[in-house]
Amino acid sequence: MKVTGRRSGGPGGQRTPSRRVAGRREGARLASDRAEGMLAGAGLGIACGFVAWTFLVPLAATYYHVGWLIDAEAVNSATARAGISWFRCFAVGGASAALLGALVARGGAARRLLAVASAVSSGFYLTVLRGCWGYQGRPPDSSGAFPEPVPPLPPLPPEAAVIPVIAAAVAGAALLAWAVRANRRKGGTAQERSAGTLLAIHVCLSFGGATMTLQLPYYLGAREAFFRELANLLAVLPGIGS
Amino acid sequence: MLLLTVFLLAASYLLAHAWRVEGTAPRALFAGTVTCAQVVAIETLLGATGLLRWPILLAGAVVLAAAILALSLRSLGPRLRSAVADDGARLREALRELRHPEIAVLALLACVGWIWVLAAVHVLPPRSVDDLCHHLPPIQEAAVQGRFVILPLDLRPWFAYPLNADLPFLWPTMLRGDIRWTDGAQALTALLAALAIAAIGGEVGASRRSRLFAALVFLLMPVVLRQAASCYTDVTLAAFYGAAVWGATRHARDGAGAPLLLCGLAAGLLAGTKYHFLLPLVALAPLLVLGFRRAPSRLEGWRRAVLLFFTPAAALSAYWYVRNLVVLGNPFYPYPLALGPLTIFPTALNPDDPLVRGRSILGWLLRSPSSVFTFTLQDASAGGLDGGFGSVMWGAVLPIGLWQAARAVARFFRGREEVWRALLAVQFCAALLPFLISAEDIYDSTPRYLLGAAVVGFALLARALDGARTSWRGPAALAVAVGVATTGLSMMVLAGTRDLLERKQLMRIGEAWEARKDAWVSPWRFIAVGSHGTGRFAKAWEMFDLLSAPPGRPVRPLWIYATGQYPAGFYGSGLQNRIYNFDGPGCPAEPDFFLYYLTIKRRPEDITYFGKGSYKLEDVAADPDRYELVLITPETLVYIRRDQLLRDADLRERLATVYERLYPEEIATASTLQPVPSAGTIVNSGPIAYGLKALELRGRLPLRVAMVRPEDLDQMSLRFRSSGPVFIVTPLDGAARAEGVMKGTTQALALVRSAAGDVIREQRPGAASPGQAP
Repeated sequence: MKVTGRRSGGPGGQRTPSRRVAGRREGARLASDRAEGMLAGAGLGIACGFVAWTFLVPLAATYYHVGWLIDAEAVNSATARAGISWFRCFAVGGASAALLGALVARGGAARRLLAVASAVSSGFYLTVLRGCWGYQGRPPDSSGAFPEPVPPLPPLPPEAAVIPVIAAAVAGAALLAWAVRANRRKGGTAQERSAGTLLAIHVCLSFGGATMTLQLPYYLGAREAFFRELANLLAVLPGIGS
Repeated sequence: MLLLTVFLLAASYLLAHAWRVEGTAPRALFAGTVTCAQVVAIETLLGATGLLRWPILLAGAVVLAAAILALSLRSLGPRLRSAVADDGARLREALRELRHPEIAVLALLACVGWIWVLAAVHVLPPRSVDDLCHHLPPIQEAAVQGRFVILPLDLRPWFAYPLNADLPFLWPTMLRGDIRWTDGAQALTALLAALAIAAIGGEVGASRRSRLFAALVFLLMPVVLRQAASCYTDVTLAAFYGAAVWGATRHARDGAGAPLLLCGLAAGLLAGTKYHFLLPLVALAPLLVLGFRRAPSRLEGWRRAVLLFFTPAAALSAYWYVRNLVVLGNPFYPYPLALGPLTIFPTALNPDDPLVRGRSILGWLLRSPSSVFTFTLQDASAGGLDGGFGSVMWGAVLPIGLWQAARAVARFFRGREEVWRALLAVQFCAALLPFLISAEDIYDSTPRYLLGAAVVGFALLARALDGARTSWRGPAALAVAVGVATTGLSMMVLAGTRDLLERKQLMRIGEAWEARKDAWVSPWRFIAVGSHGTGRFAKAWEMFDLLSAPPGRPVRPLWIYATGQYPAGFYGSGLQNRIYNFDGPGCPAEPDFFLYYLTIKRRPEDITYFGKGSYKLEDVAADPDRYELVLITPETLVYIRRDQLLRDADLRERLATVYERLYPEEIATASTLQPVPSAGTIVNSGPIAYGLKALELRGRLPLRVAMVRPEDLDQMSLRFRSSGPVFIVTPLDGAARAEGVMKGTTQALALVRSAAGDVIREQRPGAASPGQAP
């Protein structure tokens, strides 16, 4: 057997690993760190990409099913454009932050910091609230007909930027508090094992958030009828029950 | 009806206990599916043999359920008490999950949503486009004829579809003899689908909390809430598919008999409904084979397969395929069946039909990947019954389902995954097939085919949620909170959205409930908020309903010559009427009434004629001596045979009463006519004609009142002038030679004699457009 490394320790004592074995272990640890850092970084990047998307996508001009839009293609192409821009933000944000994560994750502390940052960034998805100022369509005229959307559409008001950012910041702060507390309690071991799970949460929140951003005006546009009818329903319920 | 259904459910539930089905959700799923199978089996047997009468149906169901009950009780013996107590304890444990905020909020939302759904079922009639044109007519015709019939395929080739998922609608319709709870069957099968999620989630090891979360979100998806109060069948199919998946999975794990039987029953129910669900059914085969291999011997495995799977599956579905093969020459009518270049059964559809010629959605997605956002970001058809899954489905269920399937397969090939787990995860992809193979041209009406995939996907989501909670409690809690919030917000579309595209509808109950306190209101009045123009039939269907079954009067069935795409409303709320075109038993030589639906464009050339008889509108409208117009709306015209009206005092009295009840203001105005000319004809196309017609029918007006289409006023005036003076109704202000005056609520009206050469410009009070009914 060819011996390549210097052995240490006396008879019956524990051998220290050879330099190559130690190097391999170090390499594996580094690769593991990088993989973890990459996954955590990807999550962080996806979250940042989502925030960027909510500010980049022309929400007020992304036609949704509001009004009498006979031309379904107008809605299809608008949502496809919004989807493509979401995917770009998702991919660019995720890939670049994954690369950055792989580069900086060279130790337990850096890795944990990335994981915490990634967890905290899941609060950023509350910028989904910008959807509240999305395409509203125009109200029907006196004969009940819905007019075609007419560009240029109005720019979003300042609160469309302020409120979502505040909501995201509050959620991020709450998550930071949770992460610090959890880290103290568990020493971060749980997080280290499952950066992939955190990435999955980011993917779901990003895609679900994008869906929600476009659908919020649709849902909110129906709220008046919903609450009116809910009140009617509650009023007649005793009669129906009897 | 409710008692009998509960009896059937109880018998099936005890059967689940007797057969030692483990777990409360699987037992409830077993009970629900077996109950559906009983109902479908009895109705199929009776419908195929021409014995479909409510007493026989009732007796058959009672005998079958009693037999199952006796068998179960005998098998359970002293275990009965402990079995029921065990379920009680498990239910209490499930209720304790309400301590989790997300479960509590979702449960509250579910209460609101489902009270809404049940109220809609109770108060509103079936009103969705596919209910009225496709799902209900074969069921209603079966109920009135006592046997299954294939309705005219020239109207709709889908009338040859297998009806298993439609037969639950026949159950309340037959037992009650009306349509009050007809659209309620899917409310129960939606619960079955939720149970399937909980049961499959249990198989993959999801916690009770996550399973409850997944099941509740499924129950609150807009498409589920909307379909639960309709006669669509997609939720029912999803439930059957979920039961089949659970049965196959449990059978693969332990080789037990009860899950195999459940899988066989569910597969039969599914195969006897929509052809395209045969594909995901085939994908269950590896799971079943895995279970068969657990049998003590190969022979025993085959015996179980034949006895518990193939026999129940064939018993529940074979009839439809054999019928179509024998009657129509193609078991998959109207679709083709081909093996490569070899056509075994040709299609009955037009070669230009997009369903034959068109490309699939899968092809579209491959050709143009960005079209995936049409379904996901757009949530195609949200607000209608064809789609509207919400953000949890698109944002979490879809990516997690695909990821879990890919991961399970990869792990299996690396030897790190049990085979049944890998096969179960793959079912999610298989369940996407019915949607992916649908035609691209109808992409906006097919997202509902994803409901089967949603059942498997939500179960997988429940497992993933547990994993997320374990290691990332904070972000997982945020994700769950976002999911709950979006689920709650998506319920806003229940009352109706601001876009009323063709296939969308409103679900408004308060107004309908208040109106129904008056006995002289037909449920059909409330399809006015239905989709795809079905509301345009409301006036005519209400008139037929009240004419044939007026409150406190004996039922008098009418034979109606129908046109248009929606036969369901002609039967009346108590299924008292018959559609002449369907040529059922006892069909007279001529119909009593004729309805012409001119479509939204109001063009006679767009009328859809079908089935028996050839009564073209131009012929009927041109012969006022034989056919008398009795109702005009912008899109519909209703005629009656004049000889029958003159001969039949009862019919005259009924028609007059309907006018009096439905048009009281016009009656009040017409009653003030002074002086009354001694002879002649009043020609009118406005609502005042209803009031004058009622007076004529009651014998209080010595004139003939001829309702005519606005465009026929001149021609008809000329025609009636040969038999005496002709009068038209105009506002008193502009009338030079008033021969009678009526005091309307807003203005006085004059009866003016129409002279030769006059061009009639009739004005009607309160009518903004010609032919506009009040």
